[in-house]
Amino acid sequence: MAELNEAQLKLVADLELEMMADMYNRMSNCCQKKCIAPKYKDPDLNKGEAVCIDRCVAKYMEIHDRIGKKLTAMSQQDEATVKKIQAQMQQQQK
Amino acid sequence: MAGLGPTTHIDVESTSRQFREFLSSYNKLTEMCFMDCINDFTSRKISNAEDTCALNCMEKYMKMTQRISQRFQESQLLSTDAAGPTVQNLKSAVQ
Repeated sequence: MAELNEAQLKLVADLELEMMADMYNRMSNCCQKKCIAPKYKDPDLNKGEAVCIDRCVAKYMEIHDRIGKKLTAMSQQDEATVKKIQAQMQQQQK
Repeated sequence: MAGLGPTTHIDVESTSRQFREFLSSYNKLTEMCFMDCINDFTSRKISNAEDTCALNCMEKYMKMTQRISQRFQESQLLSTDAAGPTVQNLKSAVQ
C-alpha cells in the first residue's frame, strides 16, 4: 500500500466515505423496521422506541465490526491458499 | 502491493472496482444478517446466540455466492460453442 499516489489515495478515501454512507442508510432502514411501529398517533419517539434505537445502532455497528473481522480473516486465508497453490504449480513446471 | 512497479491505469480501475464490490457486499451482508439474527433490543450486549447466528449467516452467504458463481461459470463455459482447446480442457476438468 506504500506506493499509492495521491489520486489513488483520494479514490480510496472517496470509496470509504461512500461505503460509510451506504452502511448508514442500511442501518437507518434496519433500525426503523426493528424499532418504530408504523402508527403515528404521537409525533414523539416513545421511551421504548428511543431506547430500542440506541441499542439497535450500537448492536448494528458491533455486528458490522465482527462480520468485518471474520471476513478479513477468511479472505486472508483464501489468499494464502491461492499463493500456496501457485507456488506448487510453479514448482511442478520446473 | 509493494514491489509491483508502476501500476497501469487498467489495474487501478479493476482493483478499485473489485474493492468497491467487496465493500458493498460487506454492507449488504451486515444488513441481511442483522435483520435475520438480531431481534432482542432489551439488551445492548450481543448475546452468544446472536453472535453465532450472524457469523454463520455471513459464512453461509459467502459459500452460497461462491457456489453460485462457480456453477454459473461452469454453465457459461459449457454453453460456449466456440470452444477452443483451453475451454475443452476446462470442460473435462469440470466433469
